[in-house]
Amino acid sequence: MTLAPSVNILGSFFPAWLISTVTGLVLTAIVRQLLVATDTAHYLRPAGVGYASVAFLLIFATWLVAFG
Amino acid sequence: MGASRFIAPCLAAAALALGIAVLLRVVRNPETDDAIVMADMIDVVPQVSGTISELHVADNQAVAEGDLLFVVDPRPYEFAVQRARAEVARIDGEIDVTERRIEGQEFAVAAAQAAVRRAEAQLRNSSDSLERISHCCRRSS
Repeated sequence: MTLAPSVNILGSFFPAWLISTVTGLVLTAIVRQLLVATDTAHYLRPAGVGYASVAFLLIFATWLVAFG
Repeated sequence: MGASRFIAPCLAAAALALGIAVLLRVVRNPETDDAIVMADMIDVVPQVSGTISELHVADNQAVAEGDLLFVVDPRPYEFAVQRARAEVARIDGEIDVTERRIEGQEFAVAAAQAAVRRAEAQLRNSSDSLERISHCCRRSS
């Protein structure tokens, strides 16, 4: 797959897909914490599908917003 | 609780849709800062130099043999042709003048030869007169 341009972070160049992936996973962790804190985590069951979907959703959304 | 079991599949469908959107975007508008063009490169060089006055192709346009790609500005070459034609006309005029001068000099040669013949005739005439007068003088003495 073709890679989007890399981004210079403190002198090192990181590919856009890596930045999007890290950002999406961090946001997913935050979403998970929010759901647990509000006691609504059970809405995402089965958790493997729910959180994986949220992660991919946030990864792709990050890519489209930041690099699309 | 019944509707909540559709949340995960809906999220999966949304993620799939966004993934397809990203894929289409990447495939249709590929971007990279470290690319190598895998294509046959042909240098197009005109036989004459000059500035390009007309460009008939766009970037990445497919072309075929014989297609007009661009036009090299013809004005300097048209000026050169006009200058050369003017030079030819000037030399033609010079040839006419020289031919007339040669003709005049041929007439001058003919006139000089006629003058030579006339002088020779006068010489013969004078010689004859001298001889006749000398003869008469000798006889009378």
